Amino acid sequence: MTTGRPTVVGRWRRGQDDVGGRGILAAAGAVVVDRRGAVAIETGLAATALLVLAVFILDVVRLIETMSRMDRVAAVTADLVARNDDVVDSTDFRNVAANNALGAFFFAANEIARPDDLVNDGRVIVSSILPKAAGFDLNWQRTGPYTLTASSQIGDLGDLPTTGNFIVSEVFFQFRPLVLDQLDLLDGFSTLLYARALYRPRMGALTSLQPPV
Amino acid sequence: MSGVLSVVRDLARSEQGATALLTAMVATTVVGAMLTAFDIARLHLTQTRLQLSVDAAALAATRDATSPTLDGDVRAVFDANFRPGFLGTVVADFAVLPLVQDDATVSMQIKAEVDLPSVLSPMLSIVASDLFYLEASATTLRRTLGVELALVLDNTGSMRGGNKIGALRDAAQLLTDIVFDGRESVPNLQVAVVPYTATVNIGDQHAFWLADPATAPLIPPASMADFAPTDWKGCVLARTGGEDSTETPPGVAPLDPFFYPASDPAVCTPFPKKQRRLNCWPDGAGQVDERNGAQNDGYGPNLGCGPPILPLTESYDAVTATIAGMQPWHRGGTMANMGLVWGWRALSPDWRGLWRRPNGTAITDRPFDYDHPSTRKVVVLMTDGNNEWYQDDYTAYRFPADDVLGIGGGKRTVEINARMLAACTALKTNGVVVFTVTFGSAPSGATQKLYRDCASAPDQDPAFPGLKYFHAPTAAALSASFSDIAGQLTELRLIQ
Repeated sequence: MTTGRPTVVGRWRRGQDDVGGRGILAAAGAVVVDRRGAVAIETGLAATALLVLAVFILDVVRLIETMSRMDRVAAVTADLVARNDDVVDSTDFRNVAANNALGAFFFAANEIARPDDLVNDGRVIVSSILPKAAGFDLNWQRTGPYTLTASSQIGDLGDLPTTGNFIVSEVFFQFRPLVLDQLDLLDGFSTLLYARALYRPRMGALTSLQPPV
Repeated sequence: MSGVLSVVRDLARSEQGATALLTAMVATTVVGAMLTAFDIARLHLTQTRLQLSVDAAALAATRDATSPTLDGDVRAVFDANFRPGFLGTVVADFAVLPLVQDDATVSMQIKAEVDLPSVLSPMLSIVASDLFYLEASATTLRRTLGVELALVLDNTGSMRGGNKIGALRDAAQLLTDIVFDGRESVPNLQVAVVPYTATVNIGDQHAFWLADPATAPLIPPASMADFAPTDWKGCVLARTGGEDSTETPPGVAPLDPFFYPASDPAVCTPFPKKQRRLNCWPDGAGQVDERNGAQNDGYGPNLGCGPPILPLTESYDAVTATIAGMQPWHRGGTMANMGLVWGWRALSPDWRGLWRRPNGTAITDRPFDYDHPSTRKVVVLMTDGNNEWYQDDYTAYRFPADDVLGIGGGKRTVEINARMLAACTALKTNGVVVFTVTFGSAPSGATQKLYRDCASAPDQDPAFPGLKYFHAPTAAALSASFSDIAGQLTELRLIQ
């Protein structure tokens, strides 16, 4: 079997007879021990891992950026409502009834949320609450014609002062990873973001809503 | 030694593991970059929420500046927005700093300092501390404009239905609470309350405004003694000669007392006769019944006369007591023009020094001039119905049959409305800001238009931007309207 110099086991040599399974095994063995292209393969694996990592970073940062934006949406919405001395009970942001209609504040929230699509992927809920020694009374609660289904989660607000009522704005947003979702690497992955802001009405009471004219 | 050198040379030449080494270096860099990006994003998120939370706390602090538990209240509002432990943060310091807190101006500063643990730095130990230090502050300013405010409020009998008078008391009290902001007085804030029916009670301390019977015969009574067995309550007639809608002081155009004459004894016998068309007094026992509870069954010379005007006062308690004392008074109909004109006179500089407090002491320095540099004049006129009178009821214009308006029969209500509108125009011409409110379902379309036309334009005075006419179908809407008006009279804004 030997020809005077050591045979490289498993290495395929042109012209060598391929007799049955022995030839396949020899080829597999040759691949295992063949070092040609090893750097390319390792680099490819590493690059893929790094790419996934980079995409992950991108989406994590996007997630936090979106959370920050929703925080701002919640705060600005609550503040806009709280600036008014009375608010009109009309919630449709597609057909705003008055400058002080709830629909106008929902419209503003939708604009502030851009580029995120609050109308189709989110929901804003505005409430007026009167804190008590334990818990609070709900004066009113309204939301606009949003697509996303979500319920108020005001929950525990701590020991708020009982000196008057507060406006609470809650923002829900269905976050979807941008790149990973498109690559189907995280099929169906999403998270419902929640932001909440609580403001004291600046001057008015806002314990009730004005009927639309 | 040569062996060691040989190994080093072999390692230098060897290419084995080079990719792994390179990958490890790149991965470390990427992971570091990821953690850095993560930390920066967390910083951004925390700083945003911190600032928004401080803003909310500052605005609440300024609104409730007089709260005895201010610091705790404000911290609670901050915590409700910046939830404890958010992203592992610890609030290192939180301070409520009143910058200015005098009677007319409130300025607050809120400062918060937060420690945010870093994700990256503890792993690499590249910085001494593994905490990011964040801080935020907000400064607010709330200013109450100098205002002479006259609340001209409907106290007619129709306010009894559905407890509308209760809704009015609540709404007026809400306005009062907002503008006084929990204080007994606010410098340069003066409030008058003018309840009206079909006449106005000027308060019996102002009897010296009445015409002197020695120089001019009174419209009945011939003398004030004719009020016996009771006394003049304080209501007056509309002045004649076109002075019913002017601010001419009483020294120039005196007033006549409102004296609801007794019906013919022949139709009142036997007493008591309590038909609405009659006013049979004194009754068989020689008495009158002018109690509010008597409603349409009351009788006496002051029948239909409401509670007295509260002249301009700086006292929250006095305003509150007057509002609480308002009741619906039956008989006579509704003459909002009389209320409006008396609201004007309560603010008119031509009446300075003439008004007396309920205890009789003179108010010497009010009302200010129309063009006073730091004081605005404001009237809030409210009604639950239409200007109207009844054929057999006595009013500020006496009985309709007396034709005091001098226009013959019919259209008297149209004339009342026209005179009311003229008073509105005169007020606005003098720079007085007029708010009007119609309440309930009774005000007709014409009345709503009248009050809309009466009200100031939203931009008449840049100090009070906003709508001036409100129609409030419900009690809640009435409170909202008064709350809106109060909001226009005060300011609160974030300045930093």
